[in-house]
Amino acid sequence: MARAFTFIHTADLHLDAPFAGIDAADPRVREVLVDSTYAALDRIVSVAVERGVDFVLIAGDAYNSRDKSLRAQLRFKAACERLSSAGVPVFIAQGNHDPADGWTANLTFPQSVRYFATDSVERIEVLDPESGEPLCALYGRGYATGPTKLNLARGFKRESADENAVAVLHANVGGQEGYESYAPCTMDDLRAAGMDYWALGHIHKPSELSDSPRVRYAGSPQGLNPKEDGPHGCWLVTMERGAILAEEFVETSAVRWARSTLDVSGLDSLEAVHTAIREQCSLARAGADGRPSVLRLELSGRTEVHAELARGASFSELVTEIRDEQMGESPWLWVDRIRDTTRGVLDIEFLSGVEDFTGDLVRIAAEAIGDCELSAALLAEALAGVDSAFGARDRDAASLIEQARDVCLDRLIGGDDR
Amino acid sequence: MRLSRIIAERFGSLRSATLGPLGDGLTVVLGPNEAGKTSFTTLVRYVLYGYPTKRDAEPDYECDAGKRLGRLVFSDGDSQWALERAEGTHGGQLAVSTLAGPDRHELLSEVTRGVSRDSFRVVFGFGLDEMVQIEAGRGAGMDILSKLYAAKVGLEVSPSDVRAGLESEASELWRPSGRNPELNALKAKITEVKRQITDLESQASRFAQDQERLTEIGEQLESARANREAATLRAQELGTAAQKLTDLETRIAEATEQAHLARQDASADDRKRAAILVDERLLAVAAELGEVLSESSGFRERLRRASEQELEISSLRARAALKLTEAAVEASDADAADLGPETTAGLERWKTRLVGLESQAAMSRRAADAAKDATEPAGSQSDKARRATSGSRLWAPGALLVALGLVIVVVAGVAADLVQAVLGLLVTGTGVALLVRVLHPQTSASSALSNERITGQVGATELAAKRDAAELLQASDEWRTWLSARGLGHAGDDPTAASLLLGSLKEYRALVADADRVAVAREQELAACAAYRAQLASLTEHVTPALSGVEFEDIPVQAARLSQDLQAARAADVARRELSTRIASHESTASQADARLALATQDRSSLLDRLGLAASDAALVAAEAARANESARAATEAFDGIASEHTALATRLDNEGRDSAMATLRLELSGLHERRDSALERYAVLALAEKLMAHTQAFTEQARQPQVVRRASELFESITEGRYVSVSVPSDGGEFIVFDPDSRPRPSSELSTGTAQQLYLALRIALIETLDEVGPGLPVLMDDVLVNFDPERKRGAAQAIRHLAAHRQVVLFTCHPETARLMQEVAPDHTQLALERC
Repeated sequence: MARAFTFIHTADLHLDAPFAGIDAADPRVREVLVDSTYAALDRIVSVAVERGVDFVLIAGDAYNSRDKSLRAQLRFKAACERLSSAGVPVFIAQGNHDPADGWTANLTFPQSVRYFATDSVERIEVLDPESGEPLCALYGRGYATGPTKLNLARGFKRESADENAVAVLHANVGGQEGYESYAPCTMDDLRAAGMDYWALGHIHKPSELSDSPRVRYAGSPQGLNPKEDGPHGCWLVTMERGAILAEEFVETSAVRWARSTLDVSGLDSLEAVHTAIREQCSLARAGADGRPSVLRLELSGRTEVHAELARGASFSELVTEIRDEQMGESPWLWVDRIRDTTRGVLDIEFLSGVEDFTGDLVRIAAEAIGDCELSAALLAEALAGVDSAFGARDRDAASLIEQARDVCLDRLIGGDDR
Repeated sequence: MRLSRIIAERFGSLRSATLGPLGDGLTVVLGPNEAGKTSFTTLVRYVLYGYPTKRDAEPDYECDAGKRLGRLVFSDGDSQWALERAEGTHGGQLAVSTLAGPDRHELLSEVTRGVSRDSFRVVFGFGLDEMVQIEAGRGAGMDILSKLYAAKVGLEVSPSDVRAGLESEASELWRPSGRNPELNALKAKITEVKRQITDLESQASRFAQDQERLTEIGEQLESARANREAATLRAQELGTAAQKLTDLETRIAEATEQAHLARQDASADDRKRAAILVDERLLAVAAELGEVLSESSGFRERLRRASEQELEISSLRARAALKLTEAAVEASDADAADLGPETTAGLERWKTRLVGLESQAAMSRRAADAAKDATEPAGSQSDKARRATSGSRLWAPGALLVALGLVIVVVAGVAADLVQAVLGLLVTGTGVALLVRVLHPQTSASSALSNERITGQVGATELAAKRDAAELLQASDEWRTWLSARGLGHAGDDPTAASLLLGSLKEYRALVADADRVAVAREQELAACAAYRAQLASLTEHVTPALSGVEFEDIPVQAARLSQDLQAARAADVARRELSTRIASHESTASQADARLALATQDRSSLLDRLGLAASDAALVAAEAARANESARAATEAFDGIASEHTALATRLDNEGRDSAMATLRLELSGLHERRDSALERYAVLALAEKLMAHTQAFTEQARQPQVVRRASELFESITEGRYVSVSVPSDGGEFIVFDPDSRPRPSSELSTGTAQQLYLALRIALIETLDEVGPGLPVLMDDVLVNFDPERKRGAAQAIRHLAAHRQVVLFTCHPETARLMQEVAPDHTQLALERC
């Protein structure tokens, strides 16, 4: 009879992830972000060594791209060597970001690092290194060439003799939104496999899909963009005879992401907005559990400060001042972006009934917003040049026209003191 | 409210001039050239908007009489106010004063509301120079039509200005060309960062290839290392062997030479050794003889001492004989006398005893004599005298005894003689007793009072004196007996003489004893000398003459000769021994050289055999070693080259692996994209806003501004008497266009000067007619603007002006009387003023 054993379930490390959409102008932030995925990996290794786990499971996307960066491969190799030295084997099911046919630097990994087969589900029996008795049966399948739309979960089937069975797969279970539907499958598919634990990857937010069987997404051990806010880490699972004795989520992120929307309606000065943002930063810092954090903020609401915020120089100064303030505190907080979606206190409805230039403007804008062709033509007319230079992009024409309208009205009515 | 008077002080040619009162509607001011018409028009602008600075393209109208000053008097019913501005900094300070009625501190803003300085110059106070500005200024940010329209509809800023601002801001974000706009710069930066990333990616893609190359180089390196080591080893082996062979051959030559020389030296030394003669017999006893000879100085010393002793003996014996002679004693008696310490002590005792007895006897005698004298009668005085005399007689012997006794005591103390000391004390005591008697004569004297007693005493003293004398005599006999018993009888009765004799005999005895002692010593010396001679003789039996018969005095000479012979024998022996040693050494050296030669020869053969160069020699092996060295150097160079390449490649790969530049660049690219997207978003809003403004403007021009344009068309048609029927003012700032009755367009640039000015006047009048509350207090000042009109069109223009004057105060300056007359005809109710030439 196999003894109780403990393993780490992680996935989506996305080593060397580029952090798209982040404006890390401060070198301290850049330095931490550049190393954050590796720091999370190191933390996982440390947890594995300190807790004396029996093995580590990686459910895909250890690397960020199929053409893994050299640095990522070397760092991953170093981590595996550290685990190997501690007698902790690593089992990897490759994902869409790091399929088997991706470029490798031909590095020699420790023999204790095993990749699951990509052409079919592979069963690997983990033995107790002391007794040599079977400890657990691992089932896994990696991606061979990249994203796959095949339901790989259906290939999993527990052997009846297995006392403990754990499945490792990179898949979108239940078609979760916001993620590509790779290796799509359903909870029924997972249940049908008869596993005790499903170690899943692909969804970056840690989640618990089911307790019977135990189905877990480890999530990315480090949030990779501002949308991936909240705690990120790995699962530490203890099993015996198919039962989960203990389950612990260990946070591993080096940097926390935070997002918030700040309604500045009612605030009538830049100073008040500044104070409100500062409070928002304090909240984000308090929620970061002592880690550095990156905050993305959106200012919303109709406010008298809108015109002032809309002025590039004032807004830029505000952002700079807040960044300096927050980076001066410990742990630091980087305000990645403050998006100003505020509107002025203009009474658009009233203006739309006025027979003058402003009324004409409001009506013309409303007409364009209500007419897709018209709005498209207006956008094309205004942005053809810049689009030819930077490429066409998806835009919310209505929102843009509204913003443009408000800019015009602010300047016409509020005066243009630029 | 209307302008009623214009007052100029020190303003160009207008030193102090007032124009007014102006009419509520049309005022025609007729004046010749240089009457100040343009000056008044300009003055109004300066008072309302400030005096121009040097940089403004405005006429200055300066006056050397002092600072310029202008005053405008406005009236509204019975109320009057004045706006006064004197030139100064920042355009001069404006003063508002109330001439009548309530105060109106905001008079200026009320009067000029919505009308900028440029708008006033182009539309309200204009001459021929400004006529064209209504069109030409549009491209230079002076779209007066638009500005005034915006003011009319209550906008804070004209749509044109807003559009210009939007365009300006958008162009700061992006322009089709140029590097400075934010997006242009970001795009360039993104391109650069992407290029760097591509470079790094290509580096990374080379990694596997490079690593294979590294492995390959590593194998080459191992092979090169083996080659280098083998070549180096062979070179070292050959080099060492060459050196060793050279050494061996040197050793062979040296050993051969050394053996030969050693043997030569041995022969030579052997010959030398054979030539050396050595007194073997002497050498046989060399050690003992040397020892004996080393004592020859002792022999000589003994001999000298024996001689000296002989002299001393003679001297001592002579002195002893002299002593006997002096003592008059025969030698036999002297030898027989007892001179022991008892004799000496006894002699002293006898001396003391005899002296004591003599003194006793003498004192007894004197005491008897004194007692006898005391029995004789005599007066007290004479008794006293006798006692005194008797006392004085006792004083001397008492003192003598005391002194003598003390001397004896002292001598006895020095000689530690107890007997003498006792004797001394007795003598001293006797003396003291006598002295006591001298010192206490009255006691005796008092006792003498009794004659009986004195007589008794005389008898007693006499008896004592006799007894003492007898005792002395007996002692003297005993003394002589005692002396004779000790062989000193001839010394007489005098103890002192006996003492002297005793001393002389003692000296004699001492001298004789000394002479005997020296004689004994001499005999010993001579015996030692004899023994030395005998020893020397026994060791040199072969030496002639035999030393046993040689006198002591000749022995030192013989010893010296023997010593020389012995030294020579020893030297010869040493030389012979040294030669033997050297010969042995030479022979040993030769043997060793032979052994070395054999060994070196064997080693050489073995070495050559081991190298596989049996037939070679050191030179050939050295040449082979040089060739091997060259091979080793080449192998080392090859190894170093490969190692260098290996290290460089390994280092580069290692650095590439550690380098976070790629990640940093990606993050930077991300930031650039973020900033680019943000800028694009802002650009989109601005560009779209500008287009929205443009569309609205176009719409407004079509839907609302046509009111102005239509009115302008009517006026222009009227002025041109139907030559042109409509006007178009493009919203994009393009050229004005007029249309004839056949709708043929004609741009303003193709119109004659007069016709164009008529168009501009029509537009101004049409615009001003619609302004209503814009610049409500501003009059329209026209400075001879009809001068280029032909009479027919001038009349039409006059009609338009008259019509305008119904809505707004108009002041028309002209220097042409016919124009004034025309205005009189067209508008008979207007106010007419005249100006004189300044």
